[in-house]
This record gives sequence, C-alpha cells and structure tokens, in this order.
Amino acid sequence: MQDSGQPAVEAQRILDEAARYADQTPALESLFAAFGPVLAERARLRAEAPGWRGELPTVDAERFSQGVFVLADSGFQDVSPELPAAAVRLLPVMERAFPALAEELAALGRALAEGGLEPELLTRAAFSEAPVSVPGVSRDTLRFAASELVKPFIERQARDIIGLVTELPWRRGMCPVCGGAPNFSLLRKVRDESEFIQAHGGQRLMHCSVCSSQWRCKRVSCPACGNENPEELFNLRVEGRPFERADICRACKTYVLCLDTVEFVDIPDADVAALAMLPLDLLVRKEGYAPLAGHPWSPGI
Amino acid sequence: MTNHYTDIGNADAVLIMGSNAAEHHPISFKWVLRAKDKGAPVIHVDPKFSRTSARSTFHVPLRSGTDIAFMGGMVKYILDNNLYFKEYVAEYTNAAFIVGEKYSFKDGLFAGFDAAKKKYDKSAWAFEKGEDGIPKRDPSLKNPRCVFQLLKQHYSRYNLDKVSSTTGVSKDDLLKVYKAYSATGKPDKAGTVMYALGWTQHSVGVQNIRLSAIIQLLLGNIGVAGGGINALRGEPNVQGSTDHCILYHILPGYLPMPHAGWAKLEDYQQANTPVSKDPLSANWWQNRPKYVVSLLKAWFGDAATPDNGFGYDWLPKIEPGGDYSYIFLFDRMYKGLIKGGFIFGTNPAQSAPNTHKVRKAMDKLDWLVVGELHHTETSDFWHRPGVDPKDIKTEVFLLPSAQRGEKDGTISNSGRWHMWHYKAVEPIGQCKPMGGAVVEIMNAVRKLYKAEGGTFAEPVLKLDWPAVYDPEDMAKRINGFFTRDTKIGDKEYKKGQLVPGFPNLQVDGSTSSLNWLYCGGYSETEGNLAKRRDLTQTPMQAAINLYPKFSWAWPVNRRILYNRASVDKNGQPYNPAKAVIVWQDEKWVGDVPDGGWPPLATGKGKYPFIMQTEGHAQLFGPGREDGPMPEHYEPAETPVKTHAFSKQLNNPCMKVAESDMDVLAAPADPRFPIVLTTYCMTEHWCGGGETRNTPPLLEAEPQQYVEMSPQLAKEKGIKNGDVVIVESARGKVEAVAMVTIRMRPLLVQGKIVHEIGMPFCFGWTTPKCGDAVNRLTPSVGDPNTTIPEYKASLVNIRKADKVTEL
Amino acid sequence: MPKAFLIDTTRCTACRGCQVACKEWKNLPAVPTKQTGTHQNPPDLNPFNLKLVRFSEHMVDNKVAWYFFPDQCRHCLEAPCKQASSVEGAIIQDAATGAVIYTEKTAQEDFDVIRGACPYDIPRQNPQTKQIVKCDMCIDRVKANLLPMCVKTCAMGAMNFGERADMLKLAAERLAVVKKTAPKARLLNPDDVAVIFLVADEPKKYHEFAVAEGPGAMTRKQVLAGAFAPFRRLARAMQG
Repeated sequence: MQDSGQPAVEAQRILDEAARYADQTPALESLFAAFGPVLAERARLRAEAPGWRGELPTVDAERFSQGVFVLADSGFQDVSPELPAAAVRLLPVMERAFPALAEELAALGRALAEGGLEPELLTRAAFSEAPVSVPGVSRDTLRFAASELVKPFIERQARDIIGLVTELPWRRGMCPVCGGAPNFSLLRKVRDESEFIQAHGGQRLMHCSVCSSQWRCKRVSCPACGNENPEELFNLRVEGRPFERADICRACKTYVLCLDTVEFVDIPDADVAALAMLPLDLLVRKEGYAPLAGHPWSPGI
Repeated sequence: MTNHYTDIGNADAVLIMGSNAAEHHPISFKWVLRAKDKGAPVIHVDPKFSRTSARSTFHVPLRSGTDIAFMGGMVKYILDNNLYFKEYVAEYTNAAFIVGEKYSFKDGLFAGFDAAKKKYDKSAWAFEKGEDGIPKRDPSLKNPRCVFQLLKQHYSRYNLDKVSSTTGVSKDDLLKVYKAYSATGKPDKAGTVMYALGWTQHSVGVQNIRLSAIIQLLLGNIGVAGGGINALRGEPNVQGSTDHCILYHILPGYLPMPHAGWAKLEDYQQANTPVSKDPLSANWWQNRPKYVVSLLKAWFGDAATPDNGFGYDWLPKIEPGGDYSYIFLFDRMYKGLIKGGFIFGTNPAQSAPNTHKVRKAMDKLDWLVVGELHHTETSDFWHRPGVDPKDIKTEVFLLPSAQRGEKDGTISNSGRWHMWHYKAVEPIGQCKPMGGAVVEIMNAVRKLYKAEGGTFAEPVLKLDWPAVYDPEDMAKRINGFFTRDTKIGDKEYKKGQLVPGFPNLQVDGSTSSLNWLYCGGYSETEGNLAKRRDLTQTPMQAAINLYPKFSWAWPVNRRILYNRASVDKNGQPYNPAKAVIVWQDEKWVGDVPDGGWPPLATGKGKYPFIMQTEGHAQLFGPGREDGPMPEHYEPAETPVKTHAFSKQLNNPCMKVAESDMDVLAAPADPRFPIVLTTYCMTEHWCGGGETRNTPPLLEAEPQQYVEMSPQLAKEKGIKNGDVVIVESARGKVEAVAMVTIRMRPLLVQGKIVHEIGMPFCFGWTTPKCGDAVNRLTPSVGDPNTTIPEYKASLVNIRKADKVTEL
Repeated sequence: MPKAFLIDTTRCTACRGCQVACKEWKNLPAVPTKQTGTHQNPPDLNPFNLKLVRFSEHMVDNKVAWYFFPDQCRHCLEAPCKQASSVEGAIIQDAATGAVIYTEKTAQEDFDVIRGACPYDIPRQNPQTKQIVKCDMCIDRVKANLLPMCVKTCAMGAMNFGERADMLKLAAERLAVVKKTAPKARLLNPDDVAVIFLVADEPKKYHEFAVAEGPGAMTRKQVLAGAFAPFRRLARAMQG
C-alpha cells in the first residue's frame, strides 16, 4: 500500500475506494456503507498514532531466519493509554455503521469514559487473553470493538518494526513481526532498476490479520502447511472478477484471499479489497475450506 | 552450459561471441546486465550490430568464420603477457602432459592425416606414457613437447597483424578485447563466455568452442562462479533433446551409437570404456557399461537378459564412420535411398542447407508423415512454387500436434535445469502431444507385427512399450527403476523402486534408466524434482545465486560443472567471496561437488576434471576429428584465396555432400564476392512456421530482407527498400534491401570485404513473404558433428528487375 | 487525480510488445505490410495501429546509436486538437484522468485541421467510418483501475503509468541516472503532456515529431486552431 501518512488523505482514499467498489458490486453496498467510515476512521487514527516508542527491538538474524518473529518475546508495546481517546472518535462512527450494536457500543463508550472499564482490560479483550465483561455489552461486541480500537495503534507500531527485517529472508506463512496469520494476500509487481526483463507475475505478499504487516511468501506454496505440490494448490474465482481469487490448499483444507494487482494502477486498501471479496469468501467456505484468519465481517469469526 | 543462467551475474567480464543474446536469449541477458551493473565489461564480437551490441560495453565486428583467428590471438596475448592462472594451468589442465614424438604440425596439418580419406589417425597425437601407464608430465612446463610449450608454439603465429588482416578487426579493437577479457586470469576473477549458433554453425564449429575452452582454462575460468563455457540453448529444448539423443551419433546420455564393427555388447563396452592407470583420476566414463545396460533394460524390460546382450543384439547399427546427420540424410533421400519417414516439429524444406536439394529429395519419397501445428514448407512441399503436384508421387500425412502450452512435460534449460511445465489448456481438435502420437503409432505397429509377424520382429515386439503416453511415467522411466530386489553396500532396494542417482546404476541388469544423466531427478521420497520451486539456500549459496532447490539439474543436481577446479588442493576456494564449494569440517559445502572425495592434498582426492580419462582438462584434445588444437581454416566458401596461417585453406576434414546439386564457389570466386551470414529474428520463431501464422507478428516483420552496409549498397547501386536478388552457387533469393550502418565493410588482407545478413524465417507457405534463405547455403558440415555451415557462405547481390517472391 | 506515462526510451529494446498488445486489446486487425528497408513496420501510425515503435540509427563517433521510440498520443494537458475541434463532443478530455478522447463524432470533423493541430502528428482517420482515431489511454481499463495495455505488456520497464506527480518524480530520478552517461538526455515537454518521453539524445534523432519545440510551433498551431474553430463551426451549422 502506498501511504501518505496524512490522516485526512488516508481516510479519504479509503472512502473513495469503498465507494468505487460499492458501485461495482451493488449487493455489497450496505456493507461498504457500514465498514467504509469505520476503516476510514481507523486509518485516521493509525496515521496519528505514536508508533513504537523508544529504541526499536534488536533482531537476531539467525533466530529470525529459523522462524522466530520479531516480537515473539516482547509483544507489542501497551496501547491501552491511547484507547479512551480513540474510543471517543471511533465508537460513534461504529454506532452509526452498525445500528443494531449502537446501544452496546454506547454502553462501552460510557464505561470507558466513566472509569467502569480499565483500558488495559479492553486491550486484553482485543487479544482475548482473559474473560472481560462489561454490563450491557455482549462478549462478541466487546471483542469486535476492542480489536477495532487496538488495531490502528498496533498497525502503527508494526510499521516501525517491519523495516528491521525487510532485508532478511522470511519464508513462512505467519507474520514476521507478530506471528499473526494472514487474512489476505496480494500479487504485486516490483520494479527492479537493474533488470533487463521484468517479471510479469508479481510477488505474493501476505497481509497480517493482527498488525497488517505485509511479507513476501512464495506463490506456489500454502502459507498454512507449506505444501508446494501444484496438483494440491488451486484457485477459485467468482465470475466477472478475474483479479480476485482464493488460493486454496487441498492438503490442509485452508485458503487465503488473494488480489492480483499486477496490472492495477492503484493498489487498494487491503481491508476494502477483502470486503469486496466477501462473495468469494463465502463460496470457498461453502466448498469446505477454512480461512487462515478472518475479518470483522467474516461469518463465524 | 557448464554453469547456468543466474550464475552469469557473477562474472567479472562477459564475452558474447557468436550469439545475439539480448534478442534470442533475453533471460540470459538479464544476468549479463547484472554483471555489467557491477562493473563487468560486456564484449560483443559479431558481424552485425544488434540489440546485444547496443547494450554491451563495446561491440567489435568481425568477418564470419574467423573466430579461431580472433581467439588464437587472445591465447597468444595471454601467454606472451603471462596472464594465465599458473597453478590452475599446471595442476588442473593437461598443460604438463608430454605429447608423443609422432605428433607434429606442419603447413596447417597435424600428424597422421590421410588425404584420401580426409581423416586423421589420432594415435599420432597420443600422450607419452610412463611404465606405469600414466601420461608423463613436466610440472615445470618447460619440456618442449609438453602441451604448454606446444600450445605456445602453435599460437605464436597468431600475431596481431595476421589476426587483424584475417578477421577484419582493427588491432586496437583486438587489443581492447584481449586486455579486458584476459584480466580475468587472476585467481579471484571470473570471465564467462556465452555463445550460440554463431559459433557452432561453421565447418570449424567444434574447434571454435574448443578454443574458447582453452582460453577459459588458461584463465582458470572453468568450474568457478561467473565463469564457464555457456552455450545458449533455445526454447526448442535443444539441451533436453540433445541429452536424450536427437542426434544420430549418440544414444541417450551421450553414449556412442552402436555400429556394425561392434557386433556384440562386449565389443561395444570394450571400445567405449576408457581406462586410466592413474589412481587419482576418477575417469568417470569407466562407469559407461552400467549406463548402457540400464538403458537397454529400460528399453526392453524383462526381455533384456545377459544372453541377448540385454537386447543390444536387436539394436540397429550404423556403418562405422557413416554419417546419418541432416545433410547426409537428405543426400541419401535425394539419391533415392530412403522410402519414407516421420518429421516432427522441424521444417527441413525451409531450414536445411541447400534447400532446393532438400525439397527435390522429398519428391523421391513414397510417403511422409509430418507432425506440425501449421502447414509448413515441409508438409506442403508437394505443391511448392514451380512444381506440379501431379508430378509428385509422395503421399503426405499431416498429424496435428499439440502446442507447448497444451501438454505436460519437461524442458531442460541451457543451465541443465530440468523443469516441469504444466499443461495450460487442452489441445484443440484432434491435436496430440508428439509423445502421444509416437506411443499410439508404435502400439498399432506392434499389433500388426503380433498379428502378421514380420522380418526381424524382436526389436518391435520385445520393447517395454507403454500402453498410453503419460509424461509422469516417462519421467520415472528416464530416472529408472530397480528391476529386482537389490542390495548395494548395506542398503536394500525393492523391485520397482526408483533408483536414487546414477552411482547406483548397475551393469548386471538389476537397474533400468532411459538416461543415466537424469537418474536421481525423480525420487521415492521427494517425488518429481523437476517440479521443485523452492528458493531457499544457504548464505554461501545465495552469494552466487545457486538456488539448488529450484528444479533439479543434471548431473546429481550439480549447478556448476567441474567445481572441484574452483578450489586449491586443500579444498579452499580461489575466490572466497564467490565460493562454489569449500572443504569444511571434513565435508564439502556449497554446490554438489564433482564427486565426494576429499581434497587432493589429503592424498585421497581426485583430479577435478572427472569426465576426462586422465582427470585433467584438455588444452591439448586428442579426441576431435580435426586436430588436437584449433587452427584457423577458412569457411568452405571464402572470399580469400589464401590465408596467413598456413597453406591449408579449408578444414581438411570438413564434411561435404557431393551431388549434382552440391556446388561450391571457388575461393575468392569473382562471381560471389560477398560473405553471407544467416540468423534468427526476434519477431519470428526459428523457421517461422508458427509465427508467420500470427497476423500481428507478420504485420511487424512481413518479408524477407537483407541487411547490408551503405557502402555496399552504393557500390551496387541499391537503395534502401529496393528488392534485390541474392545469388549463390546454389540458388537465388529475393529480398528487400535494408541498408544499415549496423553492417560494416571489413578490411581483410588489405581489401574491403562486404558481409550481408539475412534471417531464415520466411517461407513460401506465407504468401508474398519471400522464400527460404537456405536455398543459398551449402551442404557443408563440421567434421565432428556435421552441423551445417549456415553462418558463412558466398553470394552476390543485384537489384531485381522482376519480383516474384515478394 | 490526473494520470501520466513515463516512456523511458533508454530501457526500450523495440520488442514491439506494446505495439502488438495495443491492437490485440482493441481488437484491431493486422494490416497488410511490406518490408521497406527498416524494421519499423507498419511504416507509420494508421487507423489500426495507435501505437508504433519507431526505429532510427545514427553513427556517432564511429559508434552505432540505435534508437527506439514507442510513439503514441501524448494526451496534452491543453490539447491543441481539442482546441481545433469544431464539433461539440467530438474531442473530450476526461476530467479524472486527463485522457484526451476522440468520440464517434470526430467523423464530422475536418481531419486535416485536427491532424494539423497536433504537434506530434498523431491523429489518423479511418477511411470507412471517417472517424479520427488515436490512443485513448485505454480509458476503459484505467477506469477499472487497470494499467493501459502497452504498460501492462512492457517487459523492460520502459512504459510506466500512474499519478502524474509520481511519474514526474520517477522521470526526474531516471533522468538523473541517464544523464551520467548521456549528457544530452532530457524529458520531452514534461510540463505540457501526460505522456512524457525520456530520451538520451537529441529528440529529432528519434523521430521528426518527438518533441514540440516551443513556444513558436505549438503556439502558432494553437492560435490558428483556436482562431478558426468558431468559423468552421458556423460554416458547418449553416450547411446543416
């Protein structure tokens, strides 16, 4: 993703993309209308978030190349102090987006504002580390809201970290920063100055469901089980959408969504693009395959 | 290639000669430019300025057919200036070997020449052996009969004056190339040589490549990263088809073709199993009998037993010394000796030399089967221009073939990487892969033989022939199986198990393999290794772009051949920054070494050049038909009467077809003063049979042209775009004049020699695009391979007064 | 946001993938051609070849310079052809991308005027339909967030497409690199067009109409085109 770093520009870009996709797929119009503003507000929060504070963690290249992700020992820095202010901005947007949850979200906002809920507990709810309960808020809603609130701050920290390892080899299906599973992937053409002939196929990048880091992963391989047998790896598409596919592994029965951006002018936001692929998502699940990680809109997640 | 594509990026200098790599092997050129980006000079030596020249550091035009003079001058330059890699030359090549007293070189001829037979008695070139049977050596390289001194003496004649006046290259340009390239003679520097048909398609084709090998050995550039002799093979799978014996003189895996002089398997094995008395020589070909028997077992299965020589008795055998190559096959056809045959995926009526003769030869056939995608000049020869189909008796069958994207299978790339290709779409209509067609036809023939019998039915009926064609099954058969429960060392193998690598192939019939080189490419545990796309490698491997887990390379997944020559006697790399292998903690790491023996210094090692009988690379190569050291000879058709190196004008051993239609221009023939070279084109593929049927490509390159210099055009009163007649002693071709500064007149022996160039992709089945350029070229071949001399012949040109072909 | 191309001729190898891909995408028929003594074929732009790789060769200091120029409409920011147009809706400019588009109504235009207005000599007329045609920036593709076909197909990285600001940045970077070995390198009319060529030598060595050498030539044409347009419109209206 190209990223301007400017909150307003980021947010507007997401709204524009959501509108464009909604135009293309009228069936998803209401979903885009709901999630678009949430994703936009999240982008704004991300652009304004503080990032990694203090010295960056040191990376042991040897351990890393053996598959130990960067934050395996420490985890992310605590984002709890940011949450009350973020809630004031994001929760009202979510209330408008999801009227059915409006009352619960409002209750959550009040609990946070009035001290009924410690921000630390909200962070833990996002990672579902401990049972947390807030009166008038269901567990599902609490988890949904918590992860949406935490995400922009985690993403912002991850952006500072990923630079530490972009030159190191990482050939795994999990995120090199936080160990998260991918919920999306894309093929991207990479410009190489020294090349006589440029590859047309593009590199496959995985997109982390937790911190939105992206990392290169071999195209003909299953990110879940490492299977490389071409006969067991295949794609599914829905008619009329040639650039959207699900990369499926017959061996371990999993899939990851993949957007082929090789001939795209602009690379869309990963969440907006994934939302547009919901019909494909549903189709592949119906065929009996499970995603490596889901999205807020994914059924049963 | 001794090396492979991604390795070219490791070179400190790149010499591209006899190749237009940027246009015809573009992937190779990607790595050339990587090397260039890192500071390597890229040198293009070629008659024509092409896109390769445009991207090179410098381009040097030379006259076609004078590469040996050009490189001979480089050998002299390297030796005169002490630029060779001394330890490497003394230890790893046969520079120190003493040549026997019978050897001599006089007036352009080596000892042992029989003028009547146009053949050498090669025993006159033998090394002098001690009482132990090992060639005598002088490590000081001072003995006047040692290879090093003979080499020095031989190329002492190749001075700048002679080389310049022969090749047409200025002395400045010669020195520029020699200096830039021989800088790689330092132990930690590597230079790569890239060539293609511009070197092979000459009456001295093999010696062109021999001489480049000599240069590479003097500079210590073989076995190292960024070095090697790198033949650029094409998309037609030239590498794979050669490995699997598309040529008449070899069986799969470079095993000699049986001939009538070797009636029994024992005779064949004895004649083809080299013996070395040197305990330090691996002499790998001593294993050849195992590969031969395993091949016979793969062909004849259970029917192959020791009693029938494992089926050797059933093999067809050629006449000793007989030539069954393209040129002579069509010569026999022309003389009415061939009744019919199959032609798959090649278009000789367009691409064989002296095409007029080839087309006439086909008229003599009773029947012909052609497997093709489109109608070609070959499938449609019976209604070619100027011929009444009613006069042609030949019955022609056209089998529709599947296109590359319509079939599964493998391609072996130039770097010997064996790569599986998946079918993308089903073949249209009744099209079939060639393998499928051959299997079905043979099954029908077998059925007939079974029902009706026939003369000498055994070879047909005893075959272990598949019921249906399955590429995966073929890949397994090529790898080979154990034919019975077998114990090798302390390991037990069950009948039907895949053989894990050719060191396990046996001479007793307990193993089969359709090609020993590919044995190990299909594994019981890992499956079809040609399908591997794993990019992981160790940091040492990554430093030289080795990618050992991507696909599989023959032999035994070795990526750089003769890599034991990249290390010193202690197993330490001459260039540690680009180490190929290194002896570490009592084992080799990096690439797969040429045999697992420890380094030479341990006393248990082996010499690095394991495929040579005596383990040393051959500066002096007593095995070739036309001499142990390359010598400049003019092409069969030459614009000069004499040359500066000897009185022997042409290669004394070159193969020349003889018939009423095989005429050659005399040396410096005043009727044909211009040198013609022929080549491929980017927009059309090979003979053009496929691409001329692709309208947008035909739109971009619609018609036969001839590239010539403005000076020649002026001399002949030809304007750019004029239709001209190009005429040789054998035929005429109409072409549009493309007057271009990319072609230059050359100063040869004090006189201007003009060279013109023409693509060979246009044929009459595409209306008004012109017709085969090979109507001009001669049926003359290299004595070792009989590859035709497409790259240098004599013609004249004139403005056309009447146009019929365009 | 306006789009732009960067055509880096120093990376072009004249493989002509763009030339062929363009007509394949647009379903344009192959035209019958003749060899005329050059690899450049068809010899010029025509109604069925909206993209053409031009070849030229020059001897400089006894060294061959072989230049390739993948010619196409420049999609001028202020298009002279549009200003010269006398038919409403015949030549339009897409606000979002900046693409200059010729519609079916160009059949009613005076072809000589439109072609004459173009400093790059791009417009051609279909003899059957009388429509004037040229590259349309693959507007169908770009609207669907897809690269123009010529850019998609380019194997050498010579053809680039994106936001105008990004392309200008890339152009400046490449120019700096190329200038190190080719001091005459320059960008062609980068302030006036959306299709910016990077050349390593004098533009005229690549193609007669490679660059609009301003201000003279271009303004004159613009002025003429602008001045006469109303009269032509009037004349047409009177003829009905």
